[in-house]
Amino acid sequence: MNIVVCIKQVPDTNEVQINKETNNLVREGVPSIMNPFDEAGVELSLRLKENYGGKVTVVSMGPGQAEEVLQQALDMGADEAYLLSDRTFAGSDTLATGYLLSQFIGGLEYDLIVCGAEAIDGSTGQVGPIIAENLNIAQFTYVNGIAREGKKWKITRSVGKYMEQHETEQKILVCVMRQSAVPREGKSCGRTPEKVGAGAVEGLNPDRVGSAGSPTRVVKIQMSDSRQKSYVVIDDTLPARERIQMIINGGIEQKAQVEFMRGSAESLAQKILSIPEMSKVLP
Amino acid sequence: MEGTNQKFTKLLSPFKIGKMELKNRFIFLPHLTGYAIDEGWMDCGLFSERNIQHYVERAKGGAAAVTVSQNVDPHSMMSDEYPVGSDPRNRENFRRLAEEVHKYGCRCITQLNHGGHNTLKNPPQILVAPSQMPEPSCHFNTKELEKEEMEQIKDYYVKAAVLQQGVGWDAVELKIAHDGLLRTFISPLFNKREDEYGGSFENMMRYPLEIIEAIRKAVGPDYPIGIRLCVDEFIEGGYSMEYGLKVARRLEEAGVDYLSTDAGSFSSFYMEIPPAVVPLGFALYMSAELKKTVDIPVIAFGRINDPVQAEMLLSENCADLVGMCRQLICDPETPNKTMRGELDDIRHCIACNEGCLGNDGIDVECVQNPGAGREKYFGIGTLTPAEAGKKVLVIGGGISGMKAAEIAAKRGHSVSLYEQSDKLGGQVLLIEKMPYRAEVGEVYRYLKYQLKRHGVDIHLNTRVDRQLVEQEAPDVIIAATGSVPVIPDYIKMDEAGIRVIDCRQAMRHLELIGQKVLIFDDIGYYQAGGTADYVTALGADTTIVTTSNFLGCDIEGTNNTLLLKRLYERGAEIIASHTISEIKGDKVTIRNVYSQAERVLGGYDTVIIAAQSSSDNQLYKELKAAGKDIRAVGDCVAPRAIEQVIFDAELAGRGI
Ligand SMILES: Cc1cc2nc3c(=O)[nH]c(=O)nc-3n(C[C@H](O)[C@H](O)[C@H](O)COP(=O)(O)O)c2cc1C
Repeated sequence: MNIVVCIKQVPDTNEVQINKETNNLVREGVPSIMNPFDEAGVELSLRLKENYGGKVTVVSMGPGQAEEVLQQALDMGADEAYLLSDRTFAGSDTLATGYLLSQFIGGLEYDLIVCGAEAIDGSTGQVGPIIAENLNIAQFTYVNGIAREGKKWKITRSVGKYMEQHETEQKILVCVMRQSAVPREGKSCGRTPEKVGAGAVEGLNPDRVGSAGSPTRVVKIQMSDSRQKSYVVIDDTLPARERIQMIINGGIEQKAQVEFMRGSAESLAQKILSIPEMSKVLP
Repeated sequence: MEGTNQKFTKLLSPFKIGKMELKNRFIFLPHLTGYAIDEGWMDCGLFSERNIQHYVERAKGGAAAVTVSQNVDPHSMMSDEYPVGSDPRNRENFRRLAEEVHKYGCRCITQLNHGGHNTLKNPPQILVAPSQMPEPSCHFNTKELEKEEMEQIKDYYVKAAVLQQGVGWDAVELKIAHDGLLRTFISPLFNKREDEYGGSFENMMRYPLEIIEAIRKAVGPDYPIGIRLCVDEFIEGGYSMEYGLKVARRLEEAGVDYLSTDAGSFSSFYMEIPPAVVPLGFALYMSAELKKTVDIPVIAFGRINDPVQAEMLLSENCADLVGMCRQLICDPETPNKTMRGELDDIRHCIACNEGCLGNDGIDVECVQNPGAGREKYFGIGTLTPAEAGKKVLVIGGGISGMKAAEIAAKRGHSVSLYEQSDKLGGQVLLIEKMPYRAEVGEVYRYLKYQLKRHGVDIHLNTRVDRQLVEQEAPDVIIAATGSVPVIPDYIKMDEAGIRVIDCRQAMRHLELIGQKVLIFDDIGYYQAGGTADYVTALGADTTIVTTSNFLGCDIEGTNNTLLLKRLYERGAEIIASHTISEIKGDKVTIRNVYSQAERVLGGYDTVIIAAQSSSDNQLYKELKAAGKDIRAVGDCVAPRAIEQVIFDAELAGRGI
């Protein structure tokens, strides 16, 4: 069983500030880390390998510095690592990156491709799905867990309040959530990442990578007012009683009221199974 | 998370209000202390030594400024233990306070207030207001102020500001906040005047603005004048944020130097001093709007109890400064601990309001911090190493056992603690299951951390007996064996009837609670009220019978108001002034405690009894009889609430 994991080096967004004058991200002096979603992906893949055997290959695209995160993945236990790095790749957006990665991975042996559900620096969540589309394989987003049973993949997706279970025997691509696995610490190993230039990717169309292949234009980045705040927001025009209740409930964006359920383990299970939406989800 | 990598770049950075330099962003918000001396009429409101020490403690702890709440007018007192800012007899102690807090690089801010239509006195001598009308929650009507009286009050404001500026205080703040005269002037609900002080917005603003102008004239252009501003009155028919922001803009125009966010009123006192039901940082949206509205500095307030939260609100630009009141009552060293990165060591305020507000704000204390208001004996630096290290054995891992162990260990004793169950925390493990009471868990979280940090040897799942004591051979034993709930024998019961359990069983075993529940309250505290909250939230059809005149008579007011609201909204039936005489079949006979008239209620499947507990002191007595040096703490002495058992245990720990 061959697993390919796509990873990305990102600035640690906990440390990123926005330059008030230029509205640009200030990246100077910000530490680089492996995208936490991808880190979970590496961990999940290593666990699959440990349980069912096989090989884990990690791939990244980026400048030479990105070798750091590939080395981290090797140290965690990955078998091989490739860094797609070339001057002509500079300025690639998600479309170009997805194309390039699919072109390279298409030339490898694989049964499963693992991507992070998104990267913490751009949060587009597009690269995984683009790779799957280019390779014409099935994709599963928001994946929380994956296991192998015989020839079958068993995939768990988290959707709102529920968990969806899927099964398939095909080659697939999964985009995994950050919480899906806690990554292990690496132990320094002798393996090192291999660099791959544009010439080494078979059948690569140079017009589809780098800025030439990237239709996306970032017009402006700024702090958003609507981004989730750490405080409640209420409707000031409501009567006092309702304003108070709104605050107590946690503001306008209050979560759906969670229903209390009680009883013995058996009766709780019965109750849960009798929820109409549940019966659709569970076998 | 010891040695956390959180960087508090904003929170710990200096700031300036006008020319007043602040060393960081922690502001100790004003609060009534109840510590001023009262020796009767005209000899009350005297700023005491205890007052001084209370504020100096917060300065020592690292706050950038302390705000000292004061009354301006000796004829209109919120309470007689409220310092009178305009009284020249307070000059010397005011001077000493400024001198002392300055030693720690901390600023000293006056907050001046005229009680107006609010008071804690019951009944008050006289309440005054712009128009004759009581606060909706108050039974005492007011006198409409005449112009000469308004002039006189203005003079008191000026006198107080000048007096304190003269002895080295750094700024003056006027309260147009949840209580007091000035808010009633700006509030369209309370101000119905027909002269130049009422009617239009400009007219309603006139009196506060005149006072600001008079103070400005007296203190000069450089002395900061701030306003504690109620942004939303949270009274039906009162003003809300849009109006509050308009007032803010007008105050900025008038040359005010900063705004300190505030909300609520006596009619919605659970929004002014919010209990844990109200979410952490609930008022940040108001500060954030103030920040967008004015250019002068804004202080945030309301359930801010953690430096990470504080740093976040600053970086989200909700405010320039972080106001903390109860957090610094609970842990005055919060700023210093933040500076040292010792975040786990911070004791977080649980917003229970029991110590600070529980006795109507008379004599502010703190459930978790025995040092609040007792700084002289329990404050920073008073915990000194024991003369000789002893071997201490603590029996019981509830709150009092943990507290005694903490204090003994900090003093250098070698302490081991035994707990018969698999968890530390005692009854708090049940309390924290009650709706909105999860934060009480902080009490044992903090203590657990202290035990670990100070090397207490903890043994869970171990019941202490004579033999274990002989084996361990401690020098001193602390018995913290708690209490057991008792079902009173005046309740006649037939064996085969309804399931009858005590409230601890109910909180421990959800599955014992049926669909139709009767809760009997003979204590008046959370045992019944909190269990009722839990049971009704679970959806059971609930009747509560209390021997008191109302349910929760010993639960602190902000909490009880919201608790009763929840219970009634969920359809609970509350029967006051009744006791239970008999439980038979599914029927419960109750008896009016005044008339003795009996009534039979029926159809229950569960009865939960919240009556007195009794001390579990068997082992204590046995070991004492055997001649051991043993001291009891907590419920083992007498069943009480957290504040009392923590105090006990602090004393016991210090006494070894
Ligand atoms: C016992 C007590 C007395 C208070 N007295 C005052 C006061 O005199 N003036 C004032 O502006 N606020 C007063 N407050 C309100 C606090 O300043 C603060 O706004 C409130 O406690 C909420 O903030 P916190 O969550 O940081 O405690 C008082 C609070 C308490 C607990």
